[in-house]
Amino acid sequence: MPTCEVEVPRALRSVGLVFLGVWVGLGAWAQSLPMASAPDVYQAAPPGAILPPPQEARYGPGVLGLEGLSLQRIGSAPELGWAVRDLNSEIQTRLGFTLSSVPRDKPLRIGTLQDPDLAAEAHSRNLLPDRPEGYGLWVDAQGAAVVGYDPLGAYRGIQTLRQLLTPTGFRFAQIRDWPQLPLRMAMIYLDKDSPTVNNALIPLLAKYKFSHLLVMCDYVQWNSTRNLWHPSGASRAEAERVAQLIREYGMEPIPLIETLGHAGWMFYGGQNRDLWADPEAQTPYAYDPLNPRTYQVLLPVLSEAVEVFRPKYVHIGHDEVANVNRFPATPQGLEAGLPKLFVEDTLRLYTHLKGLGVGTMIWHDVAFGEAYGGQIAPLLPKDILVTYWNYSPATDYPALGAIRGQGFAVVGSSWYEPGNAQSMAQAVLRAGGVGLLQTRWSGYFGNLSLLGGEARQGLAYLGAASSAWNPLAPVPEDLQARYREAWRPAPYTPISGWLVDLSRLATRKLSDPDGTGWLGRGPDTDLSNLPTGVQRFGGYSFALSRALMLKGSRAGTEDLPQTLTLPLGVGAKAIAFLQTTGFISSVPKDVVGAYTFTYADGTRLRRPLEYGRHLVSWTDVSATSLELIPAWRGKTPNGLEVGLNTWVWVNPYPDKVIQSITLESSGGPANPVLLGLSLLDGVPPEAR
Amino acid sequence: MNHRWLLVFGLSIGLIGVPSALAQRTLEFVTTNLQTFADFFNPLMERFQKANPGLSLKWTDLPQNAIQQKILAGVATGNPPDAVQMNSDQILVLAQQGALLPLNELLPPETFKLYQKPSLEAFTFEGKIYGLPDYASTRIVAFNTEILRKAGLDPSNPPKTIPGVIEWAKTIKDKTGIYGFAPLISGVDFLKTFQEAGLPIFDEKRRKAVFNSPAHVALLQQYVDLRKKDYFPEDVMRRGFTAAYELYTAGKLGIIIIGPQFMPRLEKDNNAVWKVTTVAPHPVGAGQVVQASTFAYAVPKGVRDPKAAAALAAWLTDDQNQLLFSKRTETTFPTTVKAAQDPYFSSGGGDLNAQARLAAAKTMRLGRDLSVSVPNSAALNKVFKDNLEAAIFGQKSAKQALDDIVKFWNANL
Repeated sequence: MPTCEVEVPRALRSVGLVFLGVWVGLGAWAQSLPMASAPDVYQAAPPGAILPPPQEARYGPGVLGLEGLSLQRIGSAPELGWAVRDLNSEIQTRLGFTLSSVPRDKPLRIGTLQDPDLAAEAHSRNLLPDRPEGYGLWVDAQGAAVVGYDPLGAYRGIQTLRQLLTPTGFRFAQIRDWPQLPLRMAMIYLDKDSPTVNNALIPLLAKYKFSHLLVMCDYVQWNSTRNLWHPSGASRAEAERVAQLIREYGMEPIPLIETLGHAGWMFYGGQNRDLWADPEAQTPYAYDPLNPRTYQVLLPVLSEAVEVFRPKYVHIGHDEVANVNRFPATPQGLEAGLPKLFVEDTLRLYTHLKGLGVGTMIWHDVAFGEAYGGQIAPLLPKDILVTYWNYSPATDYPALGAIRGQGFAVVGSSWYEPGNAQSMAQAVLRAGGVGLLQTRWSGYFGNLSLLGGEARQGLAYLGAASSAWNPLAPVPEDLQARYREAWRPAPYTPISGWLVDLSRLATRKLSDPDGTGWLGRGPDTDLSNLPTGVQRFGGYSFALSRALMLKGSRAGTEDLPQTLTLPLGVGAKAIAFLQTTGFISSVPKDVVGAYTFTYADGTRLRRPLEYGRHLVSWTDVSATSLELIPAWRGKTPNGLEVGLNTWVWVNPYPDKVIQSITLESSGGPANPVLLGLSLLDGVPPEAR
Repeated sequence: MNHRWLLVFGLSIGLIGVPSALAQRTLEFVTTNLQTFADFFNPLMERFQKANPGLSLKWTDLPQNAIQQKILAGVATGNPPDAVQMNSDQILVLAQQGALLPLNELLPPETFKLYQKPSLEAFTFEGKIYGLPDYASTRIVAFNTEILRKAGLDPSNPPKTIPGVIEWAKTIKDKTGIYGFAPLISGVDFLKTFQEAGLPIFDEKRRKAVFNSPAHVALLQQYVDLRKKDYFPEDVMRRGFTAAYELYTAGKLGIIIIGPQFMPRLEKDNNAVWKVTTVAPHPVGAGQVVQASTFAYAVPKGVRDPKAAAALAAWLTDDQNQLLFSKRTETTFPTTVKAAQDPYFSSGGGDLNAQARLAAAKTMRLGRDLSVSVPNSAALNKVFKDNLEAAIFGQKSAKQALDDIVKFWNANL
């Protein structure tokens, strides 16, 4: 790297530089942008807080180093073995080694109250766990221990210890913890992409202390329904494998097979036309409970699900029965009426499952709804577990108490809106319900969407995990970063590189005092609250001053340049871009611009920028893709929540000098804006 | 392509220019929730096929919530249906997603003159027309007279204002324990409530959203208070009209704001409730407008022959077909200038379905599709919905919710 010193921009001098380096230009490339070296342009950091928040916790200033630390499993329960596996996996990922079980200077003990020594020590420290899944945990200079009330408690405690790991060891802590809700359930899917997603998702959900997983099984290729096999459905063998995986991560599987309504799976490929509840409908939705053949199709599927999952419950759906087609629709059905049809069908499935030793779960909305609840609920067995759903955050959900008041155990169900899971968990706690179910509705074959367009639903798992375990504690604010990091955990090893000063090419100020700055919307709606100078966001450092905003079609952006070329004259293994767009794009996968990388040998590489995947509007702070790394979150002067994300490009030719990068706009509404650019001497694992 | 096909479509050869290869193919059109009108659509297809040997029509009816997915999937796979009937909100969202073709470029200007201007405007965004209106339906108010009597209310003297409807609804709940009404305020429907009450959505230059004034806040607060006192079911915030209709059909709702086209369905779904139902025109507020849901045919991007698809949409919505359709439903209204003047649509007074049509006809002159067209409507509408629910369910004050929506809208308009 040439070392021609240049003036440090004022914006960057005004803050304390967090790295050692000099601002340089490049002799060989006289017009190159100024840049400064830093030893830690990228630095993964441990989470700021434990998720879910423990009930009782004290943290000390010290760290227990891993040198001389031995991992001792005390007891033979399989949960303890899973705990050792998870802890060593964490240490291996972050620091590159595992802990030995050979006794050394300091012990890290994992056990339960069955061990008298551990129990006595927990008692002496006032960390004695006293209820199922509870644990006591301590880390100090002498060592560490996790003591479960039961083996599952020890397993849950290890998930906390994993989050205390830092680059230099475990943070000192004393924790006594237990779940407020015994049933903490997340919904997952079985489809053709199940291995790709569920192999990572199931350990992730275990890390955040879920206890049960509701597994959507509508399109599993059961032996009993070969005529209904959908090519995108999961095999029965995959269902068996997933059930086993769930158990080995300390959770219980509950299959969900949608019946009565949402029963499209029964009619796949034009099959079972005679079982449509509404013969005049153009697309099937509900089955006809008055046709005996319905149960010749249905009951073998339930039996097979029980055989595969060995569950305590099967969820049989029974929601939104009349939402799509008419139900009832036939003269016989109308004569019977919806309540009678619903009750008789439910009892038939319930009796079948009970005969297999399995309980029944149903959704609440028809059985306990305003329209027919009075005629249905009193006729249902009281040992049916009811899942109440309401996907809007609210101060209370009185229906939980009403269902409970009729003698049923109830689970509250939430979705992805921020605040929904927490308000639901709190209401469940007040109503004496048994748990929280975090639903995910991403299509029967949409597993992969969890990594892209439906990342927000994955992110919501974490908020629900927090609230299901500890409903009254504030939910940690860094869920977006955690969710992303959970899929691609990174070592705690810094990566050096160069921070590029873009101010020379800036086209817009971040502030807008007179309607000619940022987006021309005036001082209330600008980016003036973004801190400038050298800043670290989400593991990446940038030198920030003003914006390189390009032309768009919306008012206030039409006079900006269509392209900008950034002269560099350096090599890099990866490049981090802090970027956004001025406005939202409504077009799916909209290509809003591109980067063209020009190498010193004259070759070029063009990388299109896709809205939602590589960049999003500064007013969109939702999670849209795992490729976007949450960076800064803040507010406009008038209080609108806004944010910026980082996207990392991996250079396929790391040995070539990059002469320049040209940023171009497609000229549509979502005009690209570049705010920070950093060159990396290595490739962060999350970008691979 | 033969000339009879062109005659049916009512357009000139030069403008369509459909290649002869199309003469053996099938054109698909999709409708929303009209499966019970097979006795209209089957003869319609026969007429088309008789007039156009070698061409056939395929009719698919889908639930409202499945239509957008059908189009997006069709566009993605290069095999969308040729003409799709949707409401204005859906057409606007799909147009902004680049999934629909502007019809101005596919049809001669005189085609658009056939339609009533306000109806056409509901499908116009940034000067481009994305839908040809097919039918409209103005809301009416239906009352369960048995419930009214139990509450001591006189069915023969229904309220003539929205505040009057609300007072009746409160009386019903207080006296019978049954919900009195289920206001259609979920999602962006509250924007229609503002307009019916005469409250503006934008400033005069349409550059800024202004629906956070004290008057707007007071109107929203009224519904927040009603929900807090359980005067309407929480389910309507989630499922909107579907929840309201389900309750009314089950005999568990005193008053419903409804389109007249649902009366024949009610007759089938619960004849006993239908028999004790009476109807009245929707009250007209200070805005002097009444929501008129309008459906239109749009042409998805990626159709094999855009001009033929647009011509199909024009034929499906021409004077004759609109007149026949609305006469068949007995309760909807044509949106072409000529068909709307047919005396049938201002007559009525027989059975409940005819009374419903007459009730709707009385406010049809004030009927407008009050959907608000904005850039990035999917994102802006979601913020509106989230904040409205936050207010109704007590997570935010009414003022805070409206302030937060306006901030987001004004950053993105």
